[in-house]
Amino acid sequence: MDWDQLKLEEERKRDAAYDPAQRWLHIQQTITWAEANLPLQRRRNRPRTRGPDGQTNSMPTGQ
Amino acid sequence: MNVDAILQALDREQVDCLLIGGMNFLLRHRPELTFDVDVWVRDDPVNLERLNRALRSLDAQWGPTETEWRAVPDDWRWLQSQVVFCLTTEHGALDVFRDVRGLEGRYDECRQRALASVTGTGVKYAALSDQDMLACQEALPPSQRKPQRVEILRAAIQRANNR
Repeated sequence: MDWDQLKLEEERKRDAAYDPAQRWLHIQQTITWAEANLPLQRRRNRPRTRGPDGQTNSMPTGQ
Repeated sequence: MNVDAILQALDREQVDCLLIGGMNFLLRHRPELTFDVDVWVRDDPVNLERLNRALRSLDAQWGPTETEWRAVPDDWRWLQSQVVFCLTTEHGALDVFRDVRGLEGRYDECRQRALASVTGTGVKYAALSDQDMLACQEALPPSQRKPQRVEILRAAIQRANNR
């Protein structure tokens, strides 16, 4: 089995074995964790803030 | 997924590893939805044994098939059976790589370029450099590359070189 096939098969197995409720909980926790760990100018769920390199966080587009 | 808990378990067991993949890109460059933590581990018996202890402390599960999915064994040598494992843990999905496409056999070199980082709650981790993240993307077939990620990494490397 080559590299790509192995990775795809590993992901397929895990998806099949994952408890759906736990997976959903983990996804919610990931979003919360990521938001808390990003610098202010990269957060999405905050008022716009300009970072040191002039970068601003994007606003939700509803899309 | 409690990323802190996963990184903390790896740090507690002194696992020599690098944060790679989408979570590393997210923390360093741009919010991008990702559902797992990817780590590249030094591929030697001592380190794999430490990794196995960390995995067991995280209640990690894996199986050769989905019907044989169960807690990882006490004996670390199952980790030598293949180059990549996608696991579940009580804190979320974890991908473990013993080698990484595009950077094959260059763990030590990449480890030297890695960035020592901490999460918002102070958990230590080492992050794969932009240069090496880009090498991973460029090693992928064009259809699997993430064009936006490649563009952002190239720009970040250019900015760093201009400083």
